[in-house]
Amino acid sequence: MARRYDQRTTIFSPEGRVYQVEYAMTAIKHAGATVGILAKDGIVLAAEKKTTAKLLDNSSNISEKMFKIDEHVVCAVAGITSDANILINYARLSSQRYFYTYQEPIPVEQLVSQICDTKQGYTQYGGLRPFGVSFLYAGWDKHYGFQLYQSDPSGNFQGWYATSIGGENSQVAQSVLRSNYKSDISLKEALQLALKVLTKTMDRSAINSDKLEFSYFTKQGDQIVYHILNPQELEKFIKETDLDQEAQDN
Amino acid sequence: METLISFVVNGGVLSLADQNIVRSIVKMKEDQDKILALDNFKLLSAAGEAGDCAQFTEYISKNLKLYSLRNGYDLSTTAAANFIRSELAASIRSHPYSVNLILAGYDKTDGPSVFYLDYMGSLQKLNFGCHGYAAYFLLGLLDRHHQPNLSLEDGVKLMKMCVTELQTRFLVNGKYKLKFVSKDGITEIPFTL
Repeated sequence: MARRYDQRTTIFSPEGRVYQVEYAMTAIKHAGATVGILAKDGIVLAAEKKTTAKLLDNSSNISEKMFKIDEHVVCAVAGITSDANILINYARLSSQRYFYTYQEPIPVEQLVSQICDTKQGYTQYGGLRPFGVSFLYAGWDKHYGFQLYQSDPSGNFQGWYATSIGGENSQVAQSVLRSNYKSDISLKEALQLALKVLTKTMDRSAINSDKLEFSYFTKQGDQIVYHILNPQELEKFIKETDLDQEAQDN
Repeated sequence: METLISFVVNGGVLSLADQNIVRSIVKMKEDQDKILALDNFKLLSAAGEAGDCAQFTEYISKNLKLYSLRNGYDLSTTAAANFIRSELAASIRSHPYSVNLILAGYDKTDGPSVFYLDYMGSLQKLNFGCHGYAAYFLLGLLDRHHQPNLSLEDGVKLMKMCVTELQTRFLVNGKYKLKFVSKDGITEIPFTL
């Protein structure tokens, strides 16, 4: 009877755990790592691509796990992408609903909180499994400026300066971030730090534009800019950063 | 018969309203406050069916309070105006409220602003706005004399000019209440001619 308490999503085990939620979190570990870093002038989201195949046609979507929710919020996914699509659809709808009511963009934390309420619902109301997704949300609003949030399948969320989700080596990623993060880090330095984190958590030979996704979120004047690095830009950036690191080592 | 006036002055907004509650040919009350403080920086002046005004303005103010409790900050004046508009637009299609409103507010980022709303759900951002019969008497006067950079004293003088005009030409008269919203919050200015 060892599996008595993991059949239903809604039941606590005698030790006070909800197994289905923990299994969902384990599912996320199998996904590639995703790193988010909050800089003083923007936010970096970087990820490891797991599904690379020679015959896979990527021409229609440049990004596998970065999604734009609205002009002022983007998110990166770790976990089951099809589960994520449902939540992203909901997030986009929520964002437009808020705009429809108030004619103002939704504050980032409210959006994150709404998605997390949906996630939480699936850990309490029975018969279904929880969403197997963690998100990193990068956004800007007039109340708190640039913000980085992380959410998990239980429906918890927190704001972070730098964090990572997914990946087998999340401990390594967290410790690299902890020891290298400065509170006045610039967007450029944040991009380099994100690459550094991924080089420590991934196979070094896999550091190339096929296996990585980099994007940044910043403001140019009043305009919010979200950019996903294309393969050429990414390749150039990796080359330049590697050179920089060698220079530092010498 | 009711009078609502709001206009932008330098650093804030002045809102004036009459204090009469009238039913048929009877004056029921002459000390009603028709300018509700929605929060520390928003004044909502309401005219129309007295019961609808009480119901609808309370509904709006409680919703804004709920928003600020949930999120830890208040809605901006613009967002509040659009929220009120959408509530009016929804209600006229099922359970109409007969209320005409002027929202006056002060925001840290946007400064002072005035929004004109009517019971059908229209919304206009203006430098000055009037509701009721007063509009027929006062719009011309305000066109001539109002400027958004008036000092507070000149603003109060202009309000007095408006009320003098009403007392000269308008059939109905009574007492008026004047409030001011600025970066320091809401104050009531004693109003006598």
